[in-house]
Amino acid sequence: MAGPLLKEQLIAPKYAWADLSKKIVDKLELKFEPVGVYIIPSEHAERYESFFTDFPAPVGRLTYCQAVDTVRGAANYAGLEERPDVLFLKGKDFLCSTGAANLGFYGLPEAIKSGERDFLLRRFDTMAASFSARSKIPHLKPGSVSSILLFKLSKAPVDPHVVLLFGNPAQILGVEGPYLMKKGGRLQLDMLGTCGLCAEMTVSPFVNRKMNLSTLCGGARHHAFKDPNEMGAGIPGEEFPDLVQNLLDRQNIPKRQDLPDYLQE
Amino acid sequence: MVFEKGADIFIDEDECVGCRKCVEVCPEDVYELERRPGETDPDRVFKSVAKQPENCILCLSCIEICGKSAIYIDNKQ
Repeated sequence: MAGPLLKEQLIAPKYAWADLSKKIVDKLELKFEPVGVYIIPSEHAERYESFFTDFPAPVGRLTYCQAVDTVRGAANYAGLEERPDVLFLKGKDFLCSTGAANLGFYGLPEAIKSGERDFLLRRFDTMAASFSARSKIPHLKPGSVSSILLFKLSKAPVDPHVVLLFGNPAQILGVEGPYLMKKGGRLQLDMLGTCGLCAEMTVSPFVNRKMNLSTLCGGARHHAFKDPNEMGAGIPGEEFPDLVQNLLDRQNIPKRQDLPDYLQE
Repeated sequence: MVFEKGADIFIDEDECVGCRKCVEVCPEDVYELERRPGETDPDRVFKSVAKQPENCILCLSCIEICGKSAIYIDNKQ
């Protein structure tokens, strides 16, 4: 069993997430707070999971996107009387096998892995195209994840591995620039328009350690995210504090000198 | 953890128009069309029935394709 030292070293938040959340919500005028994602690996899972036993699990199965929509406050798909700000999810809690598989709980069912499911939905012209697209969707190793903690960012009980932020394109633009502000460069997106929240917004930034944008996906928009004007950004948790600071600093142009008197009239 | 097939599937018979879309998209042949006994309305002659819910792989294609929102899996759409 994990002791207090491990808890302090691994679990106690290093950042003031409530403050960071308020700053970005206020600055971008976001409708909902960002959502934090903490991924608990299967190896030594009991050590990590013992820290989160106070948080509720959903009653009945739900999709990953429904769980995210629930904790951010847009709806309540958790089957709990009161909408939770934090949800503890095991593989058995997932209604969408694709989402659970992408997140590393288990392997994809064969009909999805082979591309047959997407082909039958007439999403692709050929099985080969369907298989190719499916096989390139970012995913964690099957069985490598034991549980996931989702939380409204202001209620973060731990530093999130990934922060999910939703907004209209102008609001997402508001985080894209500041993200690149320190180092420069360009953002190469990892997108298909399938598995928007699970693969594009969570697994991709978790694995690649860089922000990814997503227009969400048909499943997410069908099962949960009802506002067609919303899109999302998945941001590695450790980059989020800098991102907020960059956002506040951006175009905060210092006044280098007072104007000459003759120009002030 | 290993994924286990199977789900509780409910089809709202009042809403289902037997369009066959769920039958077409299901990769596990969970659904079949059945004739409604005595039905004379040509648009309601058939209905979809979840014959093999134990084969469901939770891909949710049926829910997403149903134009009548008639399919529920584990009470969710």
